[in-house]
Amino acid sequence: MPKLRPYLQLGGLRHDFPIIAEMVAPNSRVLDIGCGDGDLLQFLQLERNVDGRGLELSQTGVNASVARGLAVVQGDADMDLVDYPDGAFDVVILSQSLQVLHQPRGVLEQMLRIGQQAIVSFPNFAYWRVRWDLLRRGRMPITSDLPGPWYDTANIHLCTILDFLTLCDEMNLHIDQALTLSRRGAAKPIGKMPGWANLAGEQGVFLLRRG
Amino acid sequence: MAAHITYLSEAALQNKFDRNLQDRAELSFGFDADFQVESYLRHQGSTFVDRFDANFYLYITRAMDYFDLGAEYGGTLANAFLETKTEFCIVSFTSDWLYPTAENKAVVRALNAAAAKVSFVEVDSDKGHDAFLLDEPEMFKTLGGFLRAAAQRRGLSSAGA
Repeated sequence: MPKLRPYLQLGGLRHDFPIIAEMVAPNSRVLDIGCGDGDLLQFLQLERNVDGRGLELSQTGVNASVARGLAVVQGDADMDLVDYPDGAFDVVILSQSLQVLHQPRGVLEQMLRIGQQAIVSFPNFAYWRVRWDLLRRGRMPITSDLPGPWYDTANIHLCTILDFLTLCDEMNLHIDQALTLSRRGAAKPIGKMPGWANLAGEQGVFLLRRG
Repeated sequence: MAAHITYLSEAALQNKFDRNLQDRAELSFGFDADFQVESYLRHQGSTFVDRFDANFYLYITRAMDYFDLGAEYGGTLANAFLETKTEFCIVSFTSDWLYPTAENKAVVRALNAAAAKVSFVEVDSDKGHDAFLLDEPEMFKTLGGFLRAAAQRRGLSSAGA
């Protein structure tokens, strides 16, 4: 088989994957929480040669991951992270799953207990299209990042980039990197004007460590 | 007979036999095998007695009762797996009541606490404990993926082989 760039080979990757890979040092020990079918873990193995583990709630996701040879266990991030020892991983990743958790703050605390660093990416509920949709239609927004009607969505704890920055402040977390992603996958640092990033960024991606 | 029931599941027995009668049109209200499921279990029971010495079951049962891996490691199961280089793949079946998912998960928790490399899959099946002997495509996919990846990491097979 010819050697292709992994993200071409795998196809259909979410556009936060290359950004997340940039944040992960080669040969790191990585835990991916809510790893789905294992796409990100496999991407990180190919791109960064990580020693990867995964935690996934859905049986189909776990089975697909293990069938790909990934070390993934079935479990619930809200309940099961307490079983992992302190400092077991270099990086703990929560990609696009913050908003489905029952205890997002508790999970963040666990992530930085078991990992030196944490990477969190989530859809920004203050993105201008979301705001416009809510203003114009007066209904819960439906976008590519937030598909499905309000009664049929796993997204129970939606937040904005500003909300997340406040939470990091309250938890005394140090932000090593803060980026927004456009729908085309272009990354921009949030920098000194978070209010603007909060309007223009479809997703937020954060690299965190204990403060 | 009692042992054989634990290899199966209630749902599987229900589907296979329901309350069907064995070679008769109506209930006899005696101690003969009125129901097909009774006849089946009696047959399995007598087959077992012919094939195995019942005393083996006594010894195996006692050996299992006395086995306590955690006790050998200060009462904490995770300590048994510290520094292990082994890759673990744990598979449970939803209808297995000999090795139920909850107990498999306890082993997974201990392996995680020891930072071991572990995969865990629960396979949906009504075949009970015996599911691992039967045609379970999810189990085959899981085992295939796990073994292929382990072989590749050790240079024992090429990609996709």
